Amino acid sequence: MYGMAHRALRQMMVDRLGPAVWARIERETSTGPADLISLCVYDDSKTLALISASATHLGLPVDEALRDFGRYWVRYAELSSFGPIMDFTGQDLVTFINNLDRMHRSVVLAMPDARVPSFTLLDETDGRLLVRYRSDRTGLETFVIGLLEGLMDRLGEAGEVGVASREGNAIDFAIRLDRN
Amino acid sequence: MKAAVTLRESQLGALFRAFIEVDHNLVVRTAGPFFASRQTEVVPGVQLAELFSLRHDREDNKTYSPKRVIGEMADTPERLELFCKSKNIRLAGIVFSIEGGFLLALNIVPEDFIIEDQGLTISDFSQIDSSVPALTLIGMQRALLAEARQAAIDLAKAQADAVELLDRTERIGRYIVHDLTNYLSIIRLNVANLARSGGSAETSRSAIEAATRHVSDLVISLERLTGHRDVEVQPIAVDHTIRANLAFLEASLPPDFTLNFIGSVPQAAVRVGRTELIIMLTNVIVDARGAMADGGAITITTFRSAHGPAVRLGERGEWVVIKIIHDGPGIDPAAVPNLHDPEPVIWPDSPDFVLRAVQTWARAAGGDARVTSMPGAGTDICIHLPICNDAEVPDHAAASIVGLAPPRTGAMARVLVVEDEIHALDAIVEILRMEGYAATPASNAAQALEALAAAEFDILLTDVIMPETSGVDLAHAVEARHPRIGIVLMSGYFPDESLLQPHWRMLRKPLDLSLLMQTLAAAHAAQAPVRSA
Ligand code: HEM
Repeated sequence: MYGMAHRALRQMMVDRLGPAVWARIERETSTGPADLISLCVYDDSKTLALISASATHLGLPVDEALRDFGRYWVRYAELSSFGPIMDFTGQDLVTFINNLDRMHRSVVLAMPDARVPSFTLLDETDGRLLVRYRSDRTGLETFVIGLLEGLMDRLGEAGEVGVASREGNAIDFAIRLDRN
Repeated sequence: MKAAVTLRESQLGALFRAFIEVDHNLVVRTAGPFFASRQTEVVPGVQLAELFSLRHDREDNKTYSPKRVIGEMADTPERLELFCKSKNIRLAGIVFSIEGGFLLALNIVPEDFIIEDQGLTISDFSQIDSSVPALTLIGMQRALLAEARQAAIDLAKAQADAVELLDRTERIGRYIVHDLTNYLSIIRLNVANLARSGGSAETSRSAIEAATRHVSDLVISLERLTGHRDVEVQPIAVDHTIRANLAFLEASLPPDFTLNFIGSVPQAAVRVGRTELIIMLTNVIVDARGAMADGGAITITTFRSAHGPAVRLGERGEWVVIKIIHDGPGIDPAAVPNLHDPEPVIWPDSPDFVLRAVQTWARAAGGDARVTSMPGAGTDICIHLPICNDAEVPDHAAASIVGLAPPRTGAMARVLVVEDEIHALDAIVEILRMEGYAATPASNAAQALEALAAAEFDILLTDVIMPETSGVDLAHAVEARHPRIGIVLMSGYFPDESLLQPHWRMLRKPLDLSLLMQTLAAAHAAQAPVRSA
């Protein structure tokens, strides 16, 4: 995955456990500044190693750490210099999800090795969204749940995200919104 | 005009997100999804000219009524631009005539291609509008610039942290060296006390001796670690430097050793740190002492050579050779070839540890160090250093063999002893009294000055590193008021020579008792009747 993910993870770990723990994770995984360039694409094994090491230090199973990371990532993207791109993608949940593919497609024009997922809004009723996520990666289900939770938070929604179904390389997520 | 293609309104909106349909009077009839998706004033019934000003591609600078312009542009490829009067929004497109009015097929033109604070989202642009990738990529580029800037700041901070850490380590290291040296003095002096009181406690004596040796080794490695190193390397005169520090070097040898110096390069200068040179020589001497169980003679000679060391074969220039010869049994010859191994594993207790350090240092200075061992007969160590010709070297007296003045007794000389470490102070005062000196203790500079105001002294014997006022500052102050007093400084360090007066005497800590006595005797004997300060 791209370096922006590594940077976000670093920030999350520094926020939670302090710079010394991150320094240890860097040592454990032989990570250096060259692995933290936002738009460089690194082998997924690097990202996975960083996430598992972080999970160990957080005392969490990897899946849970991934979900936390997903939530954190949205906040990070917003607060980092990527904030304007987040704003450009959408100011409400439905618009954001509808525009996510166009944003990703634009971003990767400059990153030929990146493999971006696809998000499609399959159904929208007042209190429920059904979102299809397609990717050639596996194992990121809880990460995506965290991302969607983070997005809801950012865009002023409350509710719950769950998996509605899985098929092939697609996962359908059901978002139940608390709108009174 | 009859439409060749019929567009559904949803398709129209997909292609031209900001389309506006107006009647012939330019009153808005419908507006595209860009306006519909947000609260705007572009609603049916509003006069277009109230909301927008207008520009088109004609170059005659005349103002035309919007009605006339739009009418003329209809169904031509001419570009129409509308500027929103209340917001920073620009629309561009072409005009079609439709039944009862005009279709302004417009899209948003992003202002300066900046996405910040424009309130635009991707869906404000049609699927085929290349503004989206352009805006996104420009946004990415800005983000990367910010990231690069942050990375540079982080790097600078990391560098500053590293330097600070190094400083701190060095400072702490120096304190440790200082403290250890003090303890070492205490041990040494007490060993001497023990010996004097009848020699009964022989076991404790040898135990303390062993501890002394270990601490001594520790101090040497700490000194190396904390790098008493001159930052800017100025050329130094080899002979002069060695001669000026001979007492220092001698202090690292017990009394059953003699140290001789034969210097024959009074004019030659080399570009190495003054302190480094002395530390390296001290290391070699201490190392030699270890190999000479029964004492002996160590001789340092210097000479010029037109031949460089083997590793500098073919390099032109002139060389100073510093040769240290001792008549000990010679180091283990097996250790010598090890010195030619380019990347050996070095352990502090391996026989070539010190020699290796000297070699590394000499090579870094553009020279080399070589050891020749003659088992049973001794060892000689040759240090080659390139002569630097651009240096101006003061003309010093010709080379001579320097020995120390013969020991003399105290003869009631009055010594003011200044030492902040209370146990060391007690021990020194006690020993001096036993040796027949009239010793007065002071544990800091202020006390010393008080004592001097109250009584007369022949010699000031002071520690160098003390809190508040250093021994060097004290010595300057004392000498200004009492120009006849003899000054002897004691330090585990090699203080900055520029701060010292040439006639002052230096003793290296841990103190060597016999050298202390010799030095005090010499200072007393040399007391000039009147010295012009
Ligand atoms: C400024 C914001 C964003 C940028 C620049 C960005 C860019 C990217 C890039 C370049 C990748 C490909 C990584 C690779 O293959 O190495 C990626 C992957 C991904 N993005 Fe984003 N993204 C952003 C925001 C989001 C948001 C808000 C979501 C929320 C749903 C999201 C969901 C994902 C997911 C799930 C992947 C994983 C790829 C996979 O499943 O194969 N991204 N993103």
